[in-house]
Amino acid sequence: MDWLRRRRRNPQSVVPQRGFDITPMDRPESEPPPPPEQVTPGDLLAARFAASPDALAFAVAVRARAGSNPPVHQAPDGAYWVIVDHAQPEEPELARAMGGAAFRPDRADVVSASGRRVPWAALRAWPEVSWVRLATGIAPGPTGGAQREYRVVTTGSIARWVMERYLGADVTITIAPARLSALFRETSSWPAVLLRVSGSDQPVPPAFVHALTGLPHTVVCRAGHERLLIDHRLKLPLADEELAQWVPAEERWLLSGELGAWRFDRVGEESEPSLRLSAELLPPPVPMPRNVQLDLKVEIRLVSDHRPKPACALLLTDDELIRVRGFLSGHAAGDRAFLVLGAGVHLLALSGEESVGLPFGIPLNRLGPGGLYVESGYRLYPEPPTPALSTLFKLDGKSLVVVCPGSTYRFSTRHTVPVWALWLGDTVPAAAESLSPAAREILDRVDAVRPETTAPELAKEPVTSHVTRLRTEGFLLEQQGRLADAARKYWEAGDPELAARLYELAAEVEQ
Amino acid sequence: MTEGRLHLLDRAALCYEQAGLPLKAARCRERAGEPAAAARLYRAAGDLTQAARCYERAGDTAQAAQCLLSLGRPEEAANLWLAARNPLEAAWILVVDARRPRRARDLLAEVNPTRLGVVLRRRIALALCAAAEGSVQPLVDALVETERRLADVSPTSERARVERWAVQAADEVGRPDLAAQVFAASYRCGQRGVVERWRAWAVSALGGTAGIPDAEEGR
Repeated sequence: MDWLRRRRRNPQSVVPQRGFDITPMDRPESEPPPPPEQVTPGDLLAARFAASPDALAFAVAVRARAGSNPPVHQAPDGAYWVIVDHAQPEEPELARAMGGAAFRPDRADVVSASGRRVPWAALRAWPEVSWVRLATGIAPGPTGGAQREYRVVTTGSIARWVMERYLGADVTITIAPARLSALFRETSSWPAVLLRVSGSDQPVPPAFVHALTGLPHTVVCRAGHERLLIDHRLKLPLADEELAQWVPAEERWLLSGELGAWRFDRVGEESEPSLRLSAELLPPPVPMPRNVQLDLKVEIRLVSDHRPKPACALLLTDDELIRVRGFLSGHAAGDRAFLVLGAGVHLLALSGEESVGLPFGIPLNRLGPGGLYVESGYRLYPEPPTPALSTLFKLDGKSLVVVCPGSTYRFSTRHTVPVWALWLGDTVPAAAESLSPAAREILDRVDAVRPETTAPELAKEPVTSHVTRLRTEGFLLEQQGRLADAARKYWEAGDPELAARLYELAAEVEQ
Repeated sequence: MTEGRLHLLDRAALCYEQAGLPLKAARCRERAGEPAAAARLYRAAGDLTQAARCYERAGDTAQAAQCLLSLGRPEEAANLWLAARNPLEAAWILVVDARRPRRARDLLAEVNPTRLGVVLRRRIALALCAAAEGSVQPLVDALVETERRLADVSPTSERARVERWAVQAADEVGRPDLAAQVFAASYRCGQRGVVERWRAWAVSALGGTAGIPDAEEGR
C-alpha cells in the first residue's frame, strides 16, 4: 500500500479514529468547553454551507493549510458549519468562493457580513458531522476508467444476472451475502450481496461497469479502502483512505452516489459461484468409471476369416495325443514338432511355421510375432496393431495363448517337449503342475526313461540331448517371436535349412 | 529396406546354401536386392530362366544372353543386346544362333565403328551373313585381314572377343585352317590363355593338338 502512503499528504493530521459522534481527538476532552459568556476568539472563522459537498471541500482546503481537521457542525436548519480556529485573512474569501457564508466573531456571537447573528455557544453545541456524511451529498460523475477490481453491492437477482452474463468474460467473481443499514437517517435495513469482480490479468471490461452503474439497488465501488467502499463515480476532494479514517474501527461503510451512506452490519464468507449449465445444455449423466473405460475401448472379437491360411499348429485333446503318436512316429517332420502340454488340451506346433497336415485337432494360425494363436478360419476384428497384441493377451514370453471361439487357453512354455516324447522319452525337463493325467503320464514316462540311477561311463550328455535342447530352445524362442535367435539355435542344432527358414521369416517381420 | 532385414536375408541365404538349397538361397538373395548373386545361385541350381532374369536385372547383359542361348532362346538373347544398345552383339547372335542373316545384316547396317576391334568384328559378322547366304569368299578375306591386324587391336579383352568371333565364324563355314591362323596370330600377340583355347578347339575340331605350342613360351 505504498501508494496509499504516498497519497497521504500528512498522516498525522488525519486524526479521527473513533465515531464522528465522539468528541474529535483534536479537541482533547480535558479541555473544558468555553463558557457561553466567553467572548468568541478573535481570529475564528465560522463558514456556513447549505450544501454538504461545499462544506467538505472547504474543510479539506482548510485542513491542508492548518494541518488539522476543522470541525463541521450541522445546524438544526440543515446547514453545515465549518469552524476554523486561527483563520487566515483570505479564508473567508475562500469560503465565499466555495458557496458558503463567512461568519466572524463578534463578542459572544458570530456574525455574517449581512449581519446575521448566531450564538457561538449554540453553534458549538450543534452536533458535529462525519465527513463521510458530507461526502454523501456529492453528485456522482461519469463512470471512470477501467480498473483491475470492483466491488458491487447489489440485489441477489442482479448479482445472478451479472454472474450469468460475465462469467465467461475473463473476470473472476466472488459473492458474499451482506446486510447493510442506513447511516445518518432513519434506520432502514438493506439485505444485499457483495460481489468482488476482478479481471484476471487485465482490467474489468468497461462494458461491465457501464452496464451495472445506475441499476436500482446497485452500487459499483472502486477498489480502494476495505473499510469504506466508495462509488466509483464519486470524485472526492480528499483521498479515499483519508475519508476512510472517519469510519470507526471494526466497521465497514459504503458511500454511494445516490443511495447515501450505509454501514455493513454483516458480511458473509466470500465464495465463488458454482458453474451450472442450463437445462438444454446439461451434459449426459456421468457414467461410472468402469463404464467409461468400457465405452472408450473398442471391443476386439473373433470373426470369420474368409481367407484361411494353412494351419501352423494344432490344439489337441488328451485322446488325440495317442493318435498323433501313430501319425507322427513315421513323419519326416517328427524332429521339428513340439508339444506344449497343458491341462487337458495341448498345443502341437512345428518349427519354422511349417503347416501341420494332421487330420484331427483344432487347426491354429499364428498371429503377430510371438506366442499368440487363433483358431484357423477366424481372425481378430478390428485387427489390433502388433505391439498391442502382447498387452491385450498378456503375452509374457513364457506362455502361449490360444484364442478359439468361446474359449482361450494359456500354455506354459516350460511344458514343451519334442513330439517324439510321445513314443520314446529322453531328458526333458518340465515341471508337471496343473497338467492333465495324460500329460503327466508323458512327462512321467520321459522322466522314467532318464537313466538317473546309473552313472554312465560314456559321455555325460548324449549328442541327441544336446541337439534336442538346442531345438527345444529354438522352438521356444520362435514361439516368443525371437525368430533370428531361434534361427541361430536351429543352425547350432545342425539344421541350416530350418535356420534359413527362420531367418527368412525374421526378415519378413523386419520389413 | 532396413539394414537388419538385409542382414537376416543374407544369413538365410547362407544357411540355405549350407543346406544345399541354392534355389531358396537365390530367392533370399533376390529379395535382398542382390540380383547378381541370385543369378549365380539360380544358374548353379540349373534354373537358367531365373538366372537370365536376374542377370538382366543386375545389368549383366552378356551373362543373361548366355543363359538364354543355353536355353535355346537366341532371339530373346539378341533382344537383350538390342535393349542394351549393342546391335553388333545382337546381330552376331542372330546370324550364328538364330540363323537370321538378313535381320542381322539390318542391324549391322546401324553400326558405325571407329575402333579397330569393332570394325573387324562387324566385318566378320557381315561376312558370315554373306556366307549364310552362300558366298564364303568375303569371310575368308575378313578372317585373313583379322589375322593380319589382330595385333593392332586393343585392349586385350576386345582382342579376345575378335579372336573368339573369328574362330567361331571359321567353324561355321568349316574352315579350321582359317581358325588355326587366327589362333596363331593371337598366340603371336601373346594373348593370355590362347594356348588353352587353341588346344581345346583343336581337340574338338581336329581331333588332336599336334603342332600347337604347349605353353605360352617365354611370356
